[in-house]
Amino acid sequence: MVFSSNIFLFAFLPLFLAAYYLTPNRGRTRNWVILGASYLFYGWWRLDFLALFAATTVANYLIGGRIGDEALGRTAQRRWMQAGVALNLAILGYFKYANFGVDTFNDLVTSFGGSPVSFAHVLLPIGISFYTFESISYLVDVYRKDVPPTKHAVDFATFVSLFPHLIVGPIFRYKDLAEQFAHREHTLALFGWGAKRFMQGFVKKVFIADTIAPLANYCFSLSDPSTADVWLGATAFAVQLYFDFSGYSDMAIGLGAMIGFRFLENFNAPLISQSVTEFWRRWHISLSNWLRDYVYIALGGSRKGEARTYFNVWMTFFLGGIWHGANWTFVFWGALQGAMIFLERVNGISGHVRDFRWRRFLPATVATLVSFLVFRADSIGHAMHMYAAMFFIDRVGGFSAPVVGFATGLQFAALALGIGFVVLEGLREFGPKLTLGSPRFRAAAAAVILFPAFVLAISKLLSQGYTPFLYFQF
Amino acid sequence: MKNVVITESEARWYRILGALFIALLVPVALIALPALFAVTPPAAPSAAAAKAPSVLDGTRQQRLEAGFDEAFPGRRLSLNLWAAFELVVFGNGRPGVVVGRDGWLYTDEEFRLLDRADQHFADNVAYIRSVARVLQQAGIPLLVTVVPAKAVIHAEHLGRRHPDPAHRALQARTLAALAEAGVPALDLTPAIVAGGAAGATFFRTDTHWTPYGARLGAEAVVAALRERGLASEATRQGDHRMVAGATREHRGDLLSFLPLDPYFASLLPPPDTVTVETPEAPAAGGDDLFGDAPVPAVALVGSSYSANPLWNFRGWLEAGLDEPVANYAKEAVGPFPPMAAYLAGDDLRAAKPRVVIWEIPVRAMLAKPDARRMSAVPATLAPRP
Repeated sequence: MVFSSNIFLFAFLPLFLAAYYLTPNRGRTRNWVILGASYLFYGWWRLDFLALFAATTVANYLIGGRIGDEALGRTAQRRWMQAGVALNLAILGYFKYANFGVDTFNDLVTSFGGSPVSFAHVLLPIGISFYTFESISYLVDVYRKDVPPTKHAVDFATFVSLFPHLIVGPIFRYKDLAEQFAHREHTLALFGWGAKRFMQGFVKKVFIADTIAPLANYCFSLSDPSTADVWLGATAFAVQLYFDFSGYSDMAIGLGAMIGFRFLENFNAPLISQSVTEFWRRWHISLSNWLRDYVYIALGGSRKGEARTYFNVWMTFFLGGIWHGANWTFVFWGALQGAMIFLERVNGISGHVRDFRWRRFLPATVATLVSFLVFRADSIGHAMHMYAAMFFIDRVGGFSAPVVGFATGLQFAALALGIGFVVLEGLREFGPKLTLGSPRFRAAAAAVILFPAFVLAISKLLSQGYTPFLYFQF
Repeated sequence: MKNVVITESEARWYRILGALFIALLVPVALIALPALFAVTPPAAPSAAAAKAPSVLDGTRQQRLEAGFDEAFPGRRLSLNLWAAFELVVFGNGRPGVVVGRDGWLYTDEEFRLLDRADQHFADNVAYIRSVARVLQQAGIPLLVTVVPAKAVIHAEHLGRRHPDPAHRALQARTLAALAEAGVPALDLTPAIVAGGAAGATFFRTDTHWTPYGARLGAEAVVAALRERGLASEATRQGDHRMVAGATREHRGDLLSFLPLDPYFASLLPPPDTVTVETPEAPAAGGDDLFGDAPVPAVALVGSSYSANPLWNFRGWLEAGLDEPVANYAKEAVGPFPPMAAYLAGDDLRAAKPRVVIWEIPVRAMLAKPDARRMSAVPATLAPRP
């Protein structure tokens, strides 16, 4: 089930909240309620894969205990950490990349006239990219002594399975939440703040992302899109992806606050970025932090000279690209991100800017749209076919007849609303100090404006059926 | 934001918001609870034979969720609300319909140009040519009758949106392509336009022609068959007369793309009316000593324009030809799959028709061929061993 569904809103969530708040807040009893609900949430997709999820959780907990056992000695602790990381990567590698690997091998073999290898299709467990990364972070943090191994299995199991973030992140680190498993504050005001964030995310997802989705999908489905079609598709996809993903993160943060958790932010107005480096400081922040702490630093970070630093930067984003999916498009996308950040570093372009310059913003936005195109395309060939139109090499022209016939006023209105929201984000950060009233005024506005918008979004959801989250099977 | 700081002045409003959130969720959840036990029936008969849903692979959960969505209270109101919003603010219905003026609705298939439309056109012409060839080899004449687009015949009621130029030129393009392919084809546009002054030839809220429009089309087909010497030479006995029935309201198929009722029914176009005319049935068995009805010598294949008895295209053909017509047309699949089924069937092999009339709505020429429903044209129509 997904957050923007009737079954979650009006069956799972009310029942869970009732069970949670009716459970006495003693010790870790409420953590058991979260754990049970989270397993029900995950098992709603497929009960058979819940077994895999539970098994990896148990294995990581036990390995974490071994890593944290000082009596073993540092060498043994490191070996346990490496074994745990390898186990998680092996599981991720098999379920996520086995099909891709076999298909690629078969393409190569058949191109030389050989016979392809027969291989049963492996189903990708939902959320596997997120929960394996979180488990890896726990093992490494225990090894680095950033956090002691937890003695409470329920805490670790709840950390991995916490349903607000289970399927699509944010990617948490255990050390950031450890204290909160022992003690959380529960107030109606915090609950209400969480409800506000949840409703914000819901409205972003349903009103904007879901409305734009058919337009973006259609542009990418065209056999011979024109220049205008491609730019429209790339823009629509960028806005759709941002509102879909950040909307989901808002809902996750809001759900966490409803049960007393305080999560880190995952997005910070990324579409106003003035460089690719800045973009990655604002977009999917939990992922870029994870990549920094567990890949970049593991590779040596900036400690091994300039050339090695540049390579580490490139490799970090290259691996980050591969994490997103089993397709050459993600490999290309990751390499492209790494290359752009590498070039910015070489040219001294900072990811921290205090003012707004169109000469920085426009190239960064173009770079974002260009890279989102390959991210969304079905294949490298598909991406190249679209790039030919995008860069005025082929099919240069205005909107094609199929797009004109397909696009609706509502889709363009949602796209304009999304772009308008991004502009507001930019004005809030760089514009004349646009204080939209006092904090009390903003809280009141949330109650007066956001709540009716949320009710309307629910009715829209009822009228349109089901639209899955874009990061659903990552 | 790890440490959320909520000031006391904000806290009051957040408490209100939290209370509102609970006040929304709990009552709706209680009202919706019975919907949790609604089960979605299988979508098609074949689905009943499919594997039983299981919790292990999540199929039971999916069915439960689908049933919950379907039965969720307020669903119809939400559907009506957003349909009304799109209609009033943007002048649009759901994908599938184009809203014109004066209560006229059109199918968007006569407006939109699909991706690879030219390829689809070429593929469809090739298919028609193959069919004509195999029928010709079997000594069976074919007459393709091309039904013009409602959006072209009744362009005076178009709103802001107009058909793509490719659709406006499609009738002429189709007839030219079929002529070049050597396929006999009849353009129904002159007959329908000429008769338009005397009555409505298309429904306002339906994709299809009225019984009057179908009659004009049928009369043009009969005239074309007589001209080609393909009409029966037997003395006309007037066995296939029409009998007028009652006039009643007709809810056009395009209204399903405007889900405004019941809450915003006032925004719907006024209903069409239809006078149902049906053939007066001839004596069973005709002149046959044993009462067996002979297989009609005229076969009609086509789309819902021929299949739906409400517009009575077949009936008007029978009246004009004064002989029975076997109807192999089907609804909801377009004009090509029924021809594929007819060529693959036994009737054609058991009794060779004198002529096959193939009714094709012109917009189908730009539609993607339905590979699932269209088997390859057989090489021969020889009887099967």
